[in-house]
Amino acid sequence: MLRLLARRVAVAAPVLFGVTVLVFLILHLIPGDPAQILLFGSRPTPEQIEQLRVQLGLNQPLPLQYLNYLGRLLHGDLGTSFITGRPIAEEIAARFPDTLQLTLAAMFVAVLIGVPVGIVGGVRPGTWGDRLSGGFSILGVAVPYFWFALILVLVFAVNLHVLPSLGEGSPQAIVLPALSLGWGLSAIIARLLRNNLVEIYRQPYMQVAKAKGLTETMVLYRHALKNALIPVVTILGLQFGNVLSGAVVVEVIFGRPGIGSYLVQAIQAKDIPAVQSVVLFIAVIYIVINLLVDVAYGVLDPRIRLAWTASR
Amino acid sequence: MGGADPDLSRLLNAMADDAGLNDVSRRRFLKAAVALGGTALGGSALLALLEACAGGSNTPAGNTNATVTMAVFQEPDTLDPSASGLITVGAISHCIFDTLIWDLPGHGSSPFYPGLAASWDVSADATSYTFKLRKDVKFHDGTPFNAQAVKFTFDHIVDPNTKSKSAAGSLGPYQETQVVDNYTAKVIFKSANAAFMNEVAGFAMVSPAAVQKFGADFGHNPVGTGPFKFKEYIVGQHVTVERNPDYNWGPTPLRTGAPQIKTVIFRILADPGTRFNALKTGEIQLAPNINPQDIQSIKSDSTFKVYNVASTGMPWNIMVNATKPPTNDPLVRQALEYATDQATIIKTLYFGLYTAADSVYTPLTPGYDPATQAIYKYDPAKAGQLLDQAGWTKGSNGMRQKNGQPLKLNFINISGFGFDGISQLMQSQFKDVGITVDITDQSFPAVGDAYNRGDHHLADFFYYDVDPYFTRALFGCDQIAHGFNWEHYCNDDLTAMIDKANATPDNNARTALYKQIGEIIMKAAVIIPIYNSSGLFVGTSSLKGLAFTVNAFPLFHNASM
Repeated sequence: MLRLLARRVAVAAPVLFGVTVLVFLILHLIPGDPAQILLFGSRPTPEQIEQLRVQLGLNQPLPLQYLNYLGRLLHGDLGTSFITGRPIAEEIAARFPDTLQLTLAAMFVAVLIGVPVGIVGGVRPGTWGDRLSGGFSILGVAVPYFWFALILVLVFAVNLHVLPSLGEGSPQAIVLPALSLGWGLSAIIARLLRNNLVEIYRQPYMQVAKAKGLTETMVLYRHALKNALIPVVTILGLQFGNVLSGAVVVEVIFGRPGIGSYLVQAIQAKDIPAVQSVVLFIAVIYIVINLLVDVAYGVLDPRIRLAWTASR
Repeated sequence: MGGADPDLSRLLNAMADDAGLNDVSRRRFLKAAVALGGTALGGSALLALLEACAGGSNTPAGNTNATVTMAVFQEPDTLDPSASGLITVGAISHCIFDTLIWDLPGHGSSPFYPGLAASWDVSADATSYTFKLRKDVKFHDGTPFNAQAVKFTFDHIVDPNTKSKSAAGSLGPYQETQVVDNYTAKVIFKSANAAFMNEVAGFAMVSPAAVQKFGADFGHNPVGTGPFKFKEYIVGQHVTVERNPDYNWGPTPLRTGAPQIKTVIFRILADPGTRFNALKTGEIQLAPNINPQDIQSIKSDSTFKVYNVASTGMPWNIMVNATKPPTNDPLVRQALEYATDQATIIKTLYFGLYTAADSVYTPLTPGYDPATQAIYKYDPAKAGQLLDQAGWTKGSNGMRQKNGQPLKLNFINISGFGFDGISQLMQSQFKDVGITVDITDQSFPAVGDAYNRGDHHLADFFYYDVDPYFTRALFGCDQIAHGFNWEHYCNDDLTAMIDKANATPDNNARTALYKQIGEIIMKAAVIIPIYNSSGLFVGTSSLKGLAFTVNAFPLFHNASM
């Protein structure tokens, strides 16, 4: 088991490394002198520009600058915002709970919608229920969530006045953001579950279960769903990162606080250290979650564990 | 160099802001030393002020527990008005802080009203300003407002540790403040600074005790003397202020006593569509920077009120390089003026929400002269004649050339800054008179290098300021190549004239000088004015009594719900 963990971490490490290199280079990909650009608007003297260059380490060779950057990261130092002058780690910490809340709510919505729709399709393949379920899945995957979010606001907030248009400030405010963000994932879950169920209903043990005289509901819950849901759980874990990054746009549309709206503001304000750190933060979360899902999957399903150890 | 201090932040911020992008600094009140009644504009800022005035009694009218939620389009950088470079903070500052003088044109012959200073006096050489202060004013923390606080505020602005992004630039060649007595402060400049009379209404007086107590955290704990006290700032969400019940020193044209509404919440909503939806659902009552097409959709809806607030400064314009051939030829530059159809640009891109510009100043700016309207009017035939006269004749393809060289201009556009549509429409308008325009997009602020080198024939520009002295940074001979003289136009007489204007404390004489300056610039045809910037706000009609400063910041002194 430890070997498994070590192997997965070893695979994640180069990805992490690559991310830090890319994020580090953001500052250097901007045309012009970063120090001058960062100070633009504050009437800098040449001394101030030089001082900032030294402070940013821009007078050192690039590889050394990168090592210094890594060193600061390892100490949890994400730098200081050029706009607010506050540590970026604090800015992110103040906002991440809101983003996490939205992400979890969206995943909850995805399960709440996706599982019943998948069951309707999977239990009776080929019927009108299945076709509706399939149609839902195609729509869910095809409709962009940001467009769907706007439609939801227009219908439920602006026209029907049943829910607020802003995604923060009251308990029901989370409904529309969570729905727009979770909708696409619910379609994936529904389709996956439906196909799994169809497959499982063809298995001999299902025949046995039916032959034992179990009711259809019992068969579904005890035998079919139990097996069909395993890949769904995996997909939930794997999609967590995608939902998290989708939160960036949804937060802006609904005027919700969070690291997504923070990122957009930082880009608009050319707060480069903040942009670097938020991108890095999201990437690291993505990698860590995927790592955890991989490992958890291995723990839960011995076949996976065996496959990994056998192939290497 | 006589204080020709290009205030980068002002420009950049302003540019980004009007583009609806990041927004920056318009913290200074735009001033209008010219009595507004005399100008042609009659903007809705004026109307809004008049309306506020009419309702400006001191008896509460509406719900005294009301909360007004206003959207702001960006996160504050700091709530310290001396340090901030953001336009959002300007709106919040006007609730929490007061200024020495108010600049509220349209209420009488002078736009200036006593604020924390009961009276003031300018020295004949425009280097020192003496303010006699009110004696009954207290900061929200209970400490008295006095001459020491005035000195502290100005010293705080220029303190390098404050890292002032806007206020220090507006303050100009500040030397010191002398505390003459407890309630008399004398602000002294190193050189003549007549612009200070227009700028002073933008400096918020801060509590020295609070700045000393909170240090760098003053930006999250602002304390002033204003009509509302700071209550809370939740990062990423909102800033809340609450009525200051002791307030009794407001501007007479608006309301001197405590405000009618209890609470103002400034809610951070970065997306214009989100702001518009929240207005429609009633979750907010006031929002800036709504898309012109959305404004168009509710223009006749009585649930909403559109505030199109005229502002001072330089209109959105195209700067023309006066050094690089072929635009070094005045005839070619004049032809460009005649070939530009502002009305079509404004109608096509902004649904006619803005007014066409014809000067280096917006009509609210001191020095604007309606006579400049007559200098150039859209006339493509006249443009053609001028080009013929300059030797650029039409070839068989309809495009002009001279000695086998095509008439071709390089338009360096700042992408995403609100000039994308303008540059494209001008390209097609210039093509109609036989001029080829190549548009290259560059990003901001790196584009400044290209403009300073003079790679362009045509460049994007606009500028917010309350005083026409901004012309010094844009047209001074010493500002070429490393300042903002991106027209690369040098006229020593003009530079001297601007310096002279800024050393003239008499408002009428000064305005007369700036009128001449404006005329010289337009006759040189080094800028093509496009439209006059204005602050666009949409509010619900339930929100009443709102007023605006001359640089389009909302004032809630007399607001009611």
